[in-house]
Amino acid sequence: MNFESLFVVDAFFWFVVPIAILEGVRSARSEVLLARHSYSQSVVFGAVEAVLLMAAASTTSPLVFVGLGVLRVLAARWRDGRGWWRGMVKLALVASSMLVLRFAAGIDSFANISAAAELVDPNFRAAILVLVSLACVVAILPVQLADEAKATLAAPFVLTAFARVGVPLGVAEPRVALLAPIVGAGLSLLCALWLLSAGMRANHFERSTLVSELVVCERGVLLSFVWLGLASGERLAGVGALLEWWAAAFALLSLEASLRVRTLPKPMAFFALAMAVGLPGTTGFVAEDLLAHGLLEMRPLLAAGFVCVSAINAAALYLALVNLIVDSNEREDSRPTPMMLIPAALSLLIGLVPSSFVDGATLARASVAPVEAVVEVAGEDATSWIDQDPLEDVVDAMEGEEADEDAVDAPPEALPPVAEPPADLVPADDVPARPSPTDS
Amino acid sequence: MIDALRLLAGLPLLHLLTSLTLLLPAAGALLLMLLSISGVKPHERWVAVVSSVTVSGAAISALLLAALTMLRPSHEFDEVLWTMYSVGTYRMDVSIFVDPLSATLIALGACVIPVLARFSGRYLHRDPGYVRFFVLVGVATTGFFWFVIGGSVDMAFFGWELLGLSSVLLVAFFWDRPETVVSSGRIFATYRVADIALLSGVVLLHHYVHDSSWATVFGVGHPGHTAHLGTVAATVLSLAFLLAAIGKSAQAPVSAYVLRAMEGPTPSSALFYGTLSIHGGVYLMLRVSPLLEHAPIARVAVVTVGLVTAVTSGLSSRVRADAKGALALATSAQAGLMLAETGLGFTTFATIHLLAHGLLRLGQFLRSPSWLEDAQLRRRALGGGTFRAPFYAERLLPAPIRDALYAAALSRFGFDGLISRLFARPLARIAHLTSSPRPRLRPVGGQRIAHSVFPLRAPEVPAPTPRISVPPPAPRPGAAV
Repeated sequence: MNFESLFVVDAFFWFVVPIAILEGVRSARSEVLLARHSYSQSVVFGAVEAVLLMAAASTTSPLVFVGLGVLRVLAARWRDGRGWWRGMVKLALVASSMLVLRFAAGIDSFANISAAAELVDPNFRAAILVLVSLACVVAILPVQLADEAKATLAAPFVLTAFARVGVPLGVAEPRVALLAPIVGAGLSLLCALWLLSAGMRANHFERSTLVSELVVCERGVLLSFVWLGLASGERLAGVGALLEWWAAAFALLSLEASLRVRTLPKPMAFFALAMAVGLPGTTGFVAEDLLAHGLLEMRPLLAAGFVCVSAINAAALYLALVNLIVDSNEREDSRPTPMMLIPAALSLLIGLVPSSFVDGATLARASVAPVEAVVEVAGEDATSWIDQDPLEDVVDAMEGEEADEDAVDAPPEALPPVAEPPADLVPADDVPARPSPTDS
Repeated sequence: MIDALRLLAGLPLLHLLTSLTLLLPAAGALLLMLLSISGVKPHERWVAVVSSVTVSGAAISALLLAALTMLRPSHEFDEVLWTMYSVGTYRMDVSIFVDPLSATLIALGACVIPVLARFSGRYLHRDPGYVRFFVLVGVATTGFFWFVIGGSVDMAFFGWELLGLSSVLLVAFFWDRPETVVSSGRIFATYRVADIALLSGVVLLHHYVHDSSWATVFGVGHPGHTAHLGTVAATVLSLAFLLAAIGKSAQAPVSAYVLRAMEGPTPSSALFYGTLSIHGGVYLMLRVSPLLEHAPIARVAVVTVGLVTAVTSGLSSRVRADAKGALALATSAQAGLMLAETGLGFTTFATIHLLAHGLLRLGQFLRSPSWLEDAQLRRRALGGGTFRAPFYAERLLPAPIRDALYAAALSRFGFDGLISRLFARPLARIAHLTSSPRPRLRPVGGQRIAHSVFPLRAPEVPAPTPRISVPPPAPRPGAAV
């Protein structure tokens, strides 16, 4: 197995790259502010974080993924001078799932999972899904996170693991695919209620504690939405979930950067709130629109729960924020920093001109999903990103034969035929066509 | 002349006017926001000029768009401008739909927005939040025009949310006052419920008919092509839209939030709770009125909500002692009447009512700070004389009933308490169950603070006990020292 087969630059990798870079920059900035290390060391820590996350997003090998996770934990220990139990637990869960995937299920590449999902023993499949889902729960739940300033905001490592393993396996495991979104919805409700409680008791906290509560609870809500959408197995919801991941990263970075300064930049803080609640014109709006529509196609009750939680979340976040502003009793505003402005600008850009980014998310979702979805959604352009004949690869690997490396360059003719859309999705004939600019 | 105008009403000009209407106020708000963020403190005059030019330009463009559309043979302009994004068969189109109903709202907005921009330039002179106010006015104008001329429920939702958030932030304009921001929080929560109801309507529309454009779904202007919705689907959709309208138009039982909204500056109160925002719900119900024909239960609900609001808010407004509060409740009552008219099928009458009422309230709200002076001037102009209380119909009622009504109206018929008991308090208690008190609580008076469901209300700190000098006990005889 050579280096090229261990790492693949697919649409999903490019989707994770901005999140990894932002997390790296945040890590470096945090170290600079804490002044525990020199400036150059802080920059190195940030770069290491970003590179490890990008490598984790691009690797196809479960064992390499685990190795990268171990390296991240070691780097965090070196950086902080202590280990974080949450990180260890997450790593243990992800590593367990990957080891089961590799040695019990016999899958040595993420690219083969979707094709081999049906062939894997159901017990192993369920075990893998449960382990990787538990890792997501641990990453999302805001337990004790108020004291853990070093946690990533967008949970890129665990969500990458879920996207690479959980999404394709979930297609073949309806029990877990049914349960995981419900757990995700419950988790988001819990985080939203926690945020509401913190907002109502805002004047009971020290400011730094309130900010931590606010950020980690909001993080829990938004990342629950991401997990919920990915776990639902629905294509539209999956695309929405990936965009929600970006929206969460932008909103949380901007929110944290705004609230952790001495003099609160109130307009910027409110803009971060708008990003978090999905105001029109921001990435969150597009993401929540796709998520809601996608969930409704499969589980209307889940969609109803999603919109209710998003309402509670918005009200709770607003309450916490205004109480923070009242409590700070500052009449002046400080000027926004690049750390607040860059995510805000990105969120606005994607929210106002979303077409290319939605296409990118569609490709990214398709690159971790079954082949049929790729062809159906994105046409032939998408086929260059993925293994064209993964089923053959897996069968060969299981029989101990050498994997067919030429499968990557297989011609498009090898793909299954494009499925016709269901009859109920075809627009009714009696609905008149609307004029478009080209008609004029 | 008319033919020349009809020639002008060609598509390129309409596209230009549409673009100006939808983008100009957003561009103005963005410019002011960037200036504010960059630390530049522009002169007040320039801020007012930029804001006035952009929002007034958008208003004039919208008015021209509406006028030219009315010159078209079909009195409609329905077009998909571009596709914002698409995934598979799902598409989010940016579309526009102008018809006599939206033209009425455009006319109202075109009258109101430039006047308010001009008025606010002087009213907020030397206010620390001067730039912020005009940024939010730009956002609100953008939201209003997207809401009114958007060609689908998705576009309407886009504008609806912008309008809601800008109005909440304007209520919290004086954010150094705790009451103001707490009030804005309550309004935001109400608006979010309305937003979610509208979003549910949008999603359900996609679910039922895979389309959400006004023209095709509700058959506006195309009587033969109304989407086939069963009674159940039409009822569910209508109730979702009614819930959204209740939140936006301050209908019972959430009508009292308009009193909290009066914490904002007067021009914003006039903009949102006198003219544009509060009529948003009525406009929505007028727009979806074809649905009501297939949903008798929803029709009854619309009429009931409207009439209950008209009575309760109307009576409450009569007992208010402050001018803005009385006006706000009266506006809510009139919006209730408009909803009832819509439910009864008098849509044209409701549209005219909306336009006339919005213009009247604009004048009343803007003059409310000088209400007493205006009354004195009016009386003097009429020759003076002693004040005589006019005749009220309530005087015909028996005294006990009149007193009971007075007390009920003063407490706004207990709607606030009802909402609090049914939703706010249970939700707060559930929320407190999820998070135990954190270890780093701020001590007050040397004691740890107990749970409280009320925001911004610290528990009572016991008053320090007076120091009483107690003489030390006398040593017992024989005790060791």
